[in-house]
Amino acid sequence: MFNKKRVLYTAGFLLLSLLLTISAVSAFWPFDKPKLSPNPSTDVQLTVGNSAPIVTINSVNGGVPVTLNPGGTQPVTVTLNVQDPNGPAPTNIVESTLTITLTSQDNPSETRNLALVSTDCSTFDSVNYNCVIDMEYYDKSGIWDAVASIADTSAAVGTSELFPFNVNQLLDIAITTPISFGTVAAGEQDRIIITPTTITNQGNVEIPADYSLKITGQFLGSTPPGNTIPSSSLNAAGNAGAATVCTAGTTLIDATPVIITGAALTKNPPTNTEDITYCLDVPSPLAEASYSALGGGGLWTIEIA
Amino acid sequence: MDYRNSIITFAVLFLLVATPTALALGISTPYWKDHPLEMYAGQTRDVEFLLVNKAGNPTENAFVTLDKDAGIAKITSGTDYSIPAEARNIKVILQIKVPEEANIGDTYDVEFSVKAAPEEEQGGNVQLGVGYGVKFPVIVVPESEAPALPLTEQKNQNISGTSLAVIIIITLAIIFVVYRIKKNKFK
Repeated sequence: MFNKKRVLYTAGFLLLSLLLTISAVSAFWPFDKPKLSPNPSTDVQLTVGNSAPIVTINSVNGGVPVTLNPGGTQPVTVTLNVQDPNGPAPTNIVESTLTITLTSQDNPSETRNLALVSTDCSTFDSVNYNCVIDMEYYDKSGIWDAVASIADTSAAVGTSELFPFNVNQLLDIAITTPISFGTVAAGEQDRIIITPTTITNQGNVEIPADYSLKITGQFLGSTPPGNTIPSSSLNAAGNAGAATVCTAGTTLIDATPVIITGAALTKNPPTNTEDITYCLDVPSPLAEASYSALGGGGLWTIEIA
Repeated sequence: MDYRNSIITFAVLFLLVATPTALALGISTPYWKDHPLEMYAGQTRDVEFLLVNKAGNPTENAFVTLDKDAGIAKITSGTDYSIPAEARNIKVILQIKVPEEANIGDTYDVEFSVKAAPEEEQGGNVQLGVGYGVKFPVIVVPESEAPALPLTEQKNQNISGTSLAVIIIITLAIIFVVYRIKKNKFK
């Protein structure tokens, strides 16, 4: 007689043994064996290449058009951000390689560059820089572009996109004043005034390309009052016409702006000056006296318009 | 008096002190012939021009006149200015108001002049001042193409907006108080 209980135990044991056997064999049997390389200790290799730094210009001159400094230099602040895809920017970039260039869109030959990173730039945190570039009073007005670049420790150079900004037009001349005639005789002709008026261009416009140079004369009055000399007794001319000022110069008109023909002012030194020469035909008859503009029609004006 | 042979003395006394001195003053302008101001029909803007003076120069006095308003411009900052050395922030403000009925492409030419005179008596026969004629076109463009306001102008507009809000609140408060008083009287 079979013991029913014994049969059940035996069957369970056999079933369990079968499962264990299958499990053990499956560890060695290539049921779903992947195609592995012959080397059981496979090495997965991945090369991360070096990427150039990312440079972003955030603002130029605080977002305000640049007002140049008459006859001098104007510091312009460029704010930029540097990131390096390979790690923290401060340790991966080479600060001394930072360059910034400002270029006039209208005249690309006009550029300004960052002079020295160590003295002209400051970081307000590890990746943001404020750099100062000096612009000159004669830099062309209009739209300029700023561009910055920097290298990382692997010499890969990152360059920013162009960042446009505006430079205002600066109208600024310095003139020597006053004009003195000395002593002349009534009826004297072609008296050339010894000391011309020197005009120095301290701005970034040019004559005659952008504007004209004009003089508004006023009649001279005597002291004591009672006699006058009209400004039309004078001719004026610039450097080019100085030799012929008496015959071909521009005749002045009381209280009316007249263009000094031939007058020229460039914006770049050292040729940014012009002398205005005057030639006087003294009216006759005319009373002996001192004559001056302030005693007559008033101040004369030299004007860029 | 015999005029024919008389000798005219041109400020002989003045000559002694008439050493030439330099007079300078400048203006920085964001708009000019080739760099027009673009605005849309119905827009109003306060446009700023800066009077500047070089370091080391004496204080200069300037007078500003609007020579051509084109029916759209007026000076809102006054006509007389004193510009000390190194000044960069003396503003001449022109309010430009483009008419609602203006058409895209319309151009308005605005002109104003700045004139400066020496502050001190400088002798000589003819005293000179400097002047500048500023001219710029205002071109009407579609509203979507009008440039964003400069930061300085935005700031001014913010201040105006704040002031307006304060005025409105005060006015409402006054109306409320008056209303309450009247209401109490009738009770």
